[in-house]
Amino acid sequence: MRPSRVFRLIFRIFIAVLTLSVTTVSILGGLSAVIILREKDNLQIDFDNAEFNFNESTLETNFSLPFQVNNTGYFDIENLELYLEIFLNYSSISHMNETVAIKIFDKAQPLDDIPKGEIRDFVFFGNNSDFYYSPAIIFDINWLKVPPILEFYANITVSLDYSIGLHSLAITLENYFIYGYP
Amino acid sequence: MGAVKNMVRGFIFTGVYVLFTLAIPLTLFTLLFSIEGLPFEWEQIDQHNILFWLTAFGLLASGFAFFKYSSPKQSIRKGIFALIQVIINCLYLWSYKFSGASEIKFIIIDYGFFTLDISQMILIYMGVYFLTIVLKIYDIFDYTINREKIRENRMKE
Repeated sequence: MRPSRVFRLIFRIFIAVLTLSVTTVSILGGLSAVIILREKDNLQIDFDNAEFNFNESTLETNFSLPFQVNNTGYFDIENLELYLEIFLNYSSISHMNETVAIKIFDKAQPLDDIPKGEIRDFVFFGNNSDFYYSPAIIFDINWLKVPPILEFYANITVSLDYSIGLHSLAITLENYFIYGYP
Repeated sequence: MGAVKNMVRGFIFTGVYVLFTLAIPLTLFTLLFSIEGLPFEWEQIDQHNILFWLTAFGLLASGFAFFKYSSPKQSIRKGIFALIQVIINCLYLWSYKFSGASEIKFIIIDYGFFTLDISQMILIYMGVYFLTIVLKIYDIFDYTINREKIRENRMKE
């Protein structure tokens, strides 16, 4: 065999090994994504133990939302992040008592990586300073409406990366009712 | 006899390419788009775009596979077609990204949705393909420089 062919063969083996490695990681990463989504309990947002405190006179709001992630996949979970948007629904005087929805909260909380096979508990905190109510809103709310006067809905997104970022996954819960006042 | 053998080889590999670049992806996407009765729905706004680009580059890749595999071993013709083939394969892979097929979105009824983004994986494969392009360019130089020696060996066979 000519020396150039030997060099080519070595280079080709290197490419084949590289392709096989990437393919193996891709398949296992894809399987991990399926495994984590197959069981609902693997990604559990604990609404029963969530706390939501709201003061109607000052509009002071804070909350805590515990959740648990079980990494049943083949790789570590990286870049785990919980992103939360909260919308306030109320009957608006300036809109002829029509129900309007305004975004009052928008925050992403990066979380620690989870090694494979491990379960981690996290708590998402929302402090009053994270909320952005306009002070004038208090005069726009129809306080005489049939309760609940104020309804808080959330869009919750959990995003994560698998297998050195080859697979990025995001799960979003939409319009989840979290609190009604009174 | 060698020419017939090469032609048969060309047809076989065209068939393999048709299977892997057209038949399997198109069946998979058509099934995903039409699947019913699951607790989630497939949402892909650009499905016509995806199918168009996969078909276009799949056909090109399959066509060039015939020219590549029917060319004589270690010929300049084979080297050139192999290089074109790798570039088309790269474009085929890239079509998954720019057509939107690499970002899969499922709507989970009464719950929300989930998205799976595999564009990073496609970029990694593109990197591997880049190395293959380097190898094919090397082949063209090798086949050109050692043309006489290759011919002699071919005659001996």
